[in-house]
Amino acid sequence: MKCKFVHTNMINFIEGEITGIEKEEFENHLKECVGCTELFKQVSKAYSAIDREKEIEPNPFFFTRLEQRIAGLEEQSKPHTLMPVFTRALRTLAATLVIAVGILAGVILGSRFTNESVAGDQDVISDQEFYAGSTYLDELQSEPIEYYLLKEE
Amino acid sequence: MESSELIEKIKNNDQEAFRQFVDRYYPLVLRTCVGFVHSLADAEDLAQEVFVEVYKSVGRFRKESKISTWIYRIAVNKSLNFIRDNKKFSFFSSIETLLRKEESGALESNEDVSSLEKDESEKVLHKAIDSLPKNQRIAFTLNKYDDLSYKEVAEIMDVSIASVESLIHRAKKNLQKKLVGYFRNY
Repeated sequence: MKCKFVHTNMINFIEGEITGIEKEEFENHLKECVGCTELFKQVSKAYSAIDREKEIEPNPFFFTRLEQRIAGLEEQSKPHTLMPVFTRALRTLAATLVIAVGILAGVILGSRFTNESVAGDQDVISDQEFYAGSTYLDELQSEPIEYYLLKEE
Repeated sequence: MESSELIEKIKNNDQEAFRQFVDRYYPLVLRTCVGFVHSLADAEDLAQEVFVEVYKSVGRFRKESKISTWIYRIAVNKSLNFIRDNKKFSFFSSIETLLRKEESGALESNEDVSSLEKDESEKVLHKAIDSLPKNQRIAFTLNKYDDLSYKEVAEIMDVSIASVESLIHRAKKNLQKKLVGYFRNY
């Protein structure tokens, strides 16, 4: 028997589909041929992974998870009643009202501030005075580094 | 209780009947899904999808086929859709696996080496099964993973028994070619 027959009939042999003389010859060839024996071992090991995969433990919590999922799906697919629509409309209305009140309050306060500032002109600091005051805060401007350098000399 | 009785009760929103139905068919569905996706976690998720579909479409079930045939069809379709949708992510997941292997470093004990060899031979088989043409893959998986007869496979696939014989014969030939080809160069 040639190696080719063994190579092309390994799965049939593993599954017991080769019988009689062919089976005997197959087995005898494996005894004689080291290469085919090694190859057969590897192929049968890989093929037996199917049997190992079939031995699975079912999850005992499967139904609980499934039940939860179906409940979630049913909740999602429930038709919208009038109540949520009404609630959403109410929320929009409330938000609009808050914004409107805010704008109104801003306008009122703004107009009052303008009137007060016009009335008390003497309290207002001019731009010139304001910027003149701020220059003293800038040390670089009042005491430049060149001044120190010159002073040391 | 007969499965057909359970179906009638599920149609009337009987939760206990649905529980019994799931208990009866869950192992079958799980095995089918594992046969297609080769991952228990993914198969669990798929089994959920299958029973959600059963729950949704039980009202449309008209007893034209056997209940098991109907469930097998749903399981096969869900599995094939899952494989199709996940094909695009396989490239990235293979990179991730490679990186994880590098991070874990060299294996020391013999036990680790043998488990790696087992994983390798499983991977080779999975790759060989995954590369089969669609119908060969369905016929082979239903026959080998679920131990279904050619007649049952023919009913599920809606083809003749002769076609199933031919599909499984060709699937085995292809698998053998791939496995022998791989291990000869190993």
